Amino acid sequence: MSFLQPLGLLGLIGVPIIIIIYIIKSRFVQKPVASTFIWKRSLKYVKRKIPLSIILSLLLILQILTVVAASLAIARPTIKPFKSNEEILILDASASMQSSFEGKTRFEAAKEKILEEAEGIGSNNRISVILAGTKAETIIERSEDKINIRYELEDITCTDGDADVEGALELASKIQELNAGATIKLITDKDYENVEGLEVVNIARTGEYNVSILNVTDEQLLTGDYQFTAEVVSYGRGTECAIGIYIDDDDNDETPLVLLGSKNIILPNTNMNEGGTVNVIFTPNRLLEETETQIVVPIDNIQSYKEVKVVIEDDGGIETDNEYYLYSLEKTIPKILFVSSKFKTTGDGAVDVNKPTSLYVALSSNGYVPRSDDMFKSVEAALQAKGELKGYDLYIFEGVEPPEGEDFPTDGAVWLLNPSSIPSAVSGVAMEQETVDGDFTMILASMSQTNTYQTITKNLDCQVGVGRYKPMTHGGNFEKIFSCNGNEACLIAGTSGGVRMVVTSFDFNYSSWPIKITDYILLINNLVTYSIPDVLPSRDFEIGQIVQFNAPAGANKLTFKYEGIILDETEDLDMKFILDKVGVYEVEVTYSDETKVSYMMPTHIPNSESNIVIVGENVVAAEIPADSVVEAEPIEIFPYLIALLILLLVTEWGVYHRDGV
Amino acid sequence: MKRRILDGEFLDRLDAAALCLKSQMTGYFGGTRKARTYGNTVEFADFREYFPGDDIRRIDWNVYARFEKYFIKLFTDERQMQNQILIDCSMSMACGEPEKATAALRIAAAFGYLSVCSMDRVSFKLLKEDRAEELPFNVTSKDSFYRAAQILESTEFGGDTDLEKSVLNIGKPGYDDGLTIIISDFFTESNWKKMIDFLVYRRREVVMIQVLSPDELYPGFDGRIDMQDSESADRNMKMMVTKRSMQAYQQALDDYEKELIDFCASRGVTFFTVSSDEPIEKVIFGKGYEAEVIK
Repeated sequence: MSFLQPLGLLGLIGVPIIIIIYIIKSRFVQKPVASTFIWKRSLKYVKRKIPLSIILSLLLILQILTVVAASLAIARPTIKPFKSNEEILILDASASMQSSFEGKTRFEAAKEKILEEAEGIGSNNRISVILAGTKAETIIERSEDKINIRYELEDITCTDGDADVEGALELASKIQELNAGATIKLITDKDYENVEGLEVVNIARTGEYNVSILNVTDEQLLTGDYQFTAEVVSYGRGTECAIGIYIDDDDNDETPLVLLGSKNIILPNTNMNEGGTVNVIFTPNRLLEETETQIVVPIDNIQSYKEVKVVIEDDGGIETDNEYYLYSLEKTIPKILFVSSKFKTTGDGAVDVNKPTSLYVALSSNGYVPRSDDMFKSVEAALQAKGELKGYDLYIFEGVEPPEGEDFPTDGAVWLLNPSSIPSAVSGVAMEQETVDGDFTMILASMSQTNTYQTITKNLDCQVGVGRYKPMTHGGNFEKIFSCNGNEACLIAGTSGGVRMVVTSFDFNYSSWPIKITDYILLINNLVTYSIPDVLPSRDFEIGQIVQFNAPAGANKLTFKYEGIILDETEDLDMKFILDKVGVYEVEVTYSDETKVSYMMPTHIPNSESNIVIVGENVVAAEIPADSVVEAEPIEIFPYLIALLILLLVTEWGVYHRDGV
Repeated sequence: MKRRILDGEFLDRLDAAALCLKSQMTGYFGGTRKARTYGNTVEFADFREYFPGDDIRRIDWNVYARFEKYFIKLFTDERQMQNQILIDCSMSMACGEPEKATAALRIAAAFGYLSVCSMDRVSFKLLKEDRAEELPFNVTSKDSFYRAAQILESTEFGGDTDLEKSVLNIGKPGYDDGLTIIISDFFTESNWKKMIDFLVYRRREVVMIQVLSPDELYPGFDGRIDMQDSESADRNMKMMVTKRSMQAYQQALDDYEKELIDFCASRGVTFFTVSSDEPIEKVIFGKGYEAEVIK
């Protein structure tokens, strides 16, 4: 209760005043009479005579109540409206709700709970159901039809990702705006904390457990053989189960996966083990020993593979986290166009690969060996090939004047190394023609947390000497990576027109980079990594993850598939894609020459959803948006108090005059 | 405290009135009231057959001539009544505005004077506590009446009177010989019914005159009252006097009077109520006539 005019409560001072008056006034006036004979006889003529003390007390109470009611009426109190029986039920559809126990999943139990609520809510009352899956969705809105509620509930299914409880609460708040008295219930299996305006109904059951594969990684041993490690857990209780690994070691899609190794293992209760997991290592290394947290499963020697699948055979809990796919990380060697003024040519004008430059060596050391001689061109050859400079992942122009206008490549990353001029296509960068000679030290620019800086400087921490450079200024989307002679930019990286670029203001031959060969190779590798990012951002994915691909040079179409079924085809290479099903997604890249390359995206439920017995301090409190709990319009009870006041006055008058006080 | 109870002009008017007895009593020899017995007055009463021993001088020979039987003539007898006037001298009678005691004494004096005028003997008895104090002499003449009135004017009212006991303790209550007038407010817990029965048993004609003050008939106060009973502190009572309680009082008073009237009627006793502020003339010539006590 709150008051619009709190000062009105000062009227309560009247209460002690009334009491004082009663104390003072309570004496009787002495009256001599001839005889009280008739007066005593008159008492029996007063029907149901109430004792005087009770009448006085009643009057005192009535008068105090009158003063209190009057004071409250002046203070104009307001109260929150009473709640009706309308219920808004938020159904948690996160992956953990798939957990099965005694033949029934938590999701099914939750639906039964909703049906119970619908049956018990009574006639002429409404019920709403919001499905809190990876995306919140209103399934039933303010329905009174129990048959319809049952029908709608039959059609909804549990998702494989997290529950968007926050979004569901926002939807609930919108419904609650129509009836502020509606109660919101969250039917979930998680131990959410109760928050004001939200009742949490936990339908988790005692005895449930879930065995899950959290992660699978590969490792290439010194022998060249692969070893696979599966991180497995058992939430809720310890259990014995079988685990096996299947492999596909060729490019033939028709070939079924072949069992490589399996073993019966005993998993401890992860929760009791304070979050510990068990690593099951599938290895050809016969010398590897087992420990408490490490189980060894021997497999044959595998030098290469395309796909492996680790499977746990167990009936309890969630089925979808009992499988885990891993695809081989085979990097495609990028197509590089390298034009350098330092290349030696043979008699026929071709580049003499037997007399490589330092940059050529660094690229080769990183595995970016040329696919064909066409990758490397002399200045003259490059000039002759104007108009054909397309279809490469990376264009390197070292010590030459890069092409201008339409000839400037836009389908791949561009390195401008000590260019004679900055092409007009590169915006935000300017370079003087006059060189500065001296003995300068090239150092990393001040630390930056940008992805560009972190990628290029990864594992680099060195100082390099520079004897000549051209002063260079930069802006736009470029970032200084190395500087010399105070704070002059020597190496910058960034994007222009959507193309990733690296610009140096010095010649590598006028620096000590080639001498610091290790750092040099690392720098070049980092520059290539930055310039040509992986098509897929990672090897494994979680439900709900938004994926944006780094389309390779020459690609002109992306096709998304899920277990062989085409979901979408697009030429928008920057398109983002949301993963919402457990299984293997495939993105097929179609190049301009109609060649196709597929990238596999194994997707599994979030690891947090596998833990079906989250309790205690590990709970995640639902964060209710500030406006989710609708503050109902307060009801002013002034009219009711006035009515009460009048009633009290009438009652007091009646008591005073009827009962003779 | 001396009260003035006599008014010469009023007494002159009383000379024209007389006490009326509803029945003939035995009485005492030598009065003016006709008795049930036959006497030697000159007023013929009846004939009776002669019996040996009767005075032959009373034989009516004219009747003998007609019936040839001896009849003697009987004549009425006139006796003197012994009237008793009982005055409740409790403290409650000393209350009221005007004082009930004064009214009671005036009424008593008036009836006493009427008795004297009727050649009756009258005795004033002051009922105090459980006894009846009698004036030292019987009033048989106007002279003795005036002496008695002077004594009555100085009557002290106080204490609590038990009407039953005080009446039963009267030394000479008499028998079939006169009128007993009881003047009181009858606000008593005493068994006044037994008192009446006693007097009726003594074959006395009883007149009960209830004297109430105006504030008893119509109490004029209200509010939170601690009523102080004039006779006994044990009877004090606190109450809120309101319209409702006032109505209950009136009803109680009416019912009590009805109880008195009904009981008196059942015993042949005359009863009427007067207010202390009523003029004595109105009481005697008004209510007295209505009650047929005065003629």
